Amino acid sequence: MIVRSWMMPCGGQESNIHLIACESTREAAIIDAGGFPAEMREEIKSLALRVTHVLITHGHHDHVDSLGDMMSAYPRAIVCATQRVSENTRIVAEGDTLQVGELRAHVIQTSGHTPDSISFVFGDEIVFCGDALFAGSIGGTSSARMRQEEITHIREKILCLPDDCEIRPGHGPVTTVGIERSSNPFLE
Amino acid sequence: MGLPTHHERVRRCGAPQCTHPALPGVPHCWEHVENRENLHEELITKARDGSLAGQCLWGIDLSGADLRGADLRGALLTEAKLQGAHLERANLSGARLERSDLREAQAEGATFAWAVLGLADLSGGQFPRCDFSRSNLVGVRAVGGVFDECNLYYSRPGKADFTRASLREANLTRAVFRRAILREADATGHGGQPNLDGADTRGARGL
Repeated sequence: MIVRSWMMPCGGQESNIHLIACESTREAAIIDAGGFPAEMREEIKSLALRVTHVLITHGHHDHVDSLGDMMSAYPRAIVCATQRVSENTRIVAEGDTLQVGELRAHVIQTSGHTPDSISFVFGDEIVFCGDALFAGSIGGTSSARMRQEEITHIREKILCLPDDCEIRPGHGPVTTVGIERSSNPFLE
Repeated sequence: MGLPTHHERVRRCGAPQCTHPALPGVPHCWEHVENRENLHEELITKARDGSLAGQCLWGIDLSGADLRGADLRGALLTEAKLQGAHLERANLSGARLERSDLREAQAEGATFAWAVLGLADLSGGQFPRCDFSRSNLVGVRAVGGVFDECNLYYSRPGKADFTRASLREANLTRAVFRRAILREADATGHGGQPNLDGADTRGARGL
């Protein structure tokens, strides 16, 4: 598989936008739309990829602000989200599967940061988790109950994956299941 | 960033029941490869000429190797043995180095931006003027390491052990040292405001 990430400044923050593609079919999915960097468009073109999906982890502005521009560039792409966010939206929920070329993604509910946050797991090898989990941290929540819900989802659905499984969050550096299981101060 | 990654053209090691990725150009991983000595020299040459960027080098032993200026961007170096290696000015941007052994490595001026170093051992290493911006340093052991004038902007050294480490004049802007150990560390003259929630800074200077 082809995997790339870009970082975009977004209201004093830095948001990550990810790309995953099937090496055989060249079909690709973009994960989150907090920006639409020119470097990403150029990489998609130079690798001869065809964007078939845009996967949205949650609806905060720093994850969807550039969705309109993205859909103008790739009008046939299906947007997978928990709410209708564009004309081509496919509403997804826990347990759904998506096919990007020969790559299969499972949708898992990782609510807490928002009530409808989801993550996309590609074959136990890579997780795009939005703002549920960060390197050494977890996503901010509005209450203690939501925080506990988020931690439970992370423990039961992400930390059960293999140690080397890569986690690409919505902000900050890449991490792995092994690192977070061992040393995330919020998950002890 | 758009860095190359190790996910492309992955081949598994041909040894029965081994799940590790094979090294570039051979059918096995480091653990199962034959003729390690020749391969060792070949890989060092390739690292220097840039052809190992984004390659799978899981568990490789390059202890003490001369990798000055090597291009290892986006390489998979999980559990690599790099103890005492010379990595001065090497480019390891976006590399996966978790659980690697970088003890006493000599890495002045190297780039580790966006690298995943979680649970690695950097103790006693020389890392002055390195770029660790946006790197994952969760749970690293860096006892007595030298990180003077490093850029640690937006890095994540949560639960890391920087006991007696030197971070003089390092850029610590937005670095998250949550529950890190910084006992007797020297951060004199550092720039920026790090997050020190729950960090142990007993005997530290400049924090």
